[in-house]
Amino acid sequence: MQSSLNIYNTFGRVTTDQFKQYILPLKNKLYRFALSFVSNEADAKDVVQDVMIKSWQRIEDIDAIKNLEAWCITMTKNRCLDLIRKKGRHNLDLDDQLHIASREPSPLEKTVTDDSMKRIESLIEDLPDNQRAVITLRDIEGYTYKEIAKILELDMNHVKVLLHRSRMAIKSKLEGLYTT
Amino acid sequence: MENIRIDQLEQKFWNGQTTPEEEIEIKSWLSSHDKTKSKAALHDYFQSLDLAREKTLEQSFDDEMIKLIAPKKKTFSIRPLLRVAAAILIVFVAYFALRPTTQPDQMADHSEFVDTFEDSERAYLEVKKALMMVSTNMNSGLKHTQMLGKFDEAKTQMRNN
Repeated sequence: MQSSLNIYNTFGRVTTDQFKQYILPLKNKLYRFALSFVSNEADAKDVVQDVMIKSWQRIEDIDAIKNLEAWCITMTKNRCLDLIRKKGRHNLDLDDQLHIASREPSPLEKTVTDDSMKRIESLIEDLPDNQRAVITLRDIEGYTYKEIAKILELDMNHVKVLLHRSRMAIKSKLEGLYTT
Repeated sequence: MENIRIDQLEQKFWNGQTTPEEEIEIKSWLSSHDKTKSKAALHDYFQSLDLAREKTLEQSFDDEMIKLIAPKKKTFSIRPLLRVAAAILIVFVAYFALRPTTQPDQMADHSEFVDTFEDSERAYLEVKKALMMVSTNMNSGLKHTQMLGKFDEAKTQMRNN
């Protein structure tokens, strides 16, 4: 993760180029993280857009924020939780089903066994919010325990416990599938 | 030996105790070995993570974002400039139309003659000189009027004859 940033130009204002250089590259990480909460691609995209606009509007404070990436991810988590509260989980799941049906598979998706991949995806989706967030940040994005603890505002030992529980849950369900 | 190592790493992984380096080791082992029944869960899980990392936003998202945050370009309009030009023109016209008819420099010419000399004798001589000049010019003017008088006499004689 990036450490402190000096994103101010000589006039003390952040230019569009600096937005492209520092904020926009976070889009995919934020998108995948948002997906782990809201499942629906359109909602995840809206959340990322919202977070980026918010970070742009609060650009004056960014100088004081030591880790822009962690700050954006925390904001993404909060926006997702707000959205879930607002829309309700049930609606999100229905939207998601419609979206999966219309999405174009990537080259890798075509080569792997779709069924087992989708099964794992749904196993992750079924995890409780905190476990799903930890597993996304650790296994997909590769953050350290310390970074995850900071992003999710949790104790590091709690992060380790959540990761252990989530992986064990996935393992037991996967083994159940392969033995039957 | 290799199998014992990977079994230990797998156990550690599911327990959530592996380091990032050990996870790289597992990934590397899985990519160089065929999928077996005993490692099927681990194999598919790592593959699903690769698949999840492929989920990205398109370029069109960047374009939308830039549009949203970019400052709006100010369009150049000639209208305010025309307004300023018209105001300046009105001020100029008003100034020339309403300024006093007596020129200040003309007044200054008259004032030249006031209290020019401090010495009264010299002032008297200057006045005398001026009056002499007026008198000379008047005499030369009278010569011309005398000629007119002759013309007038001749006209009277002709009328009488």
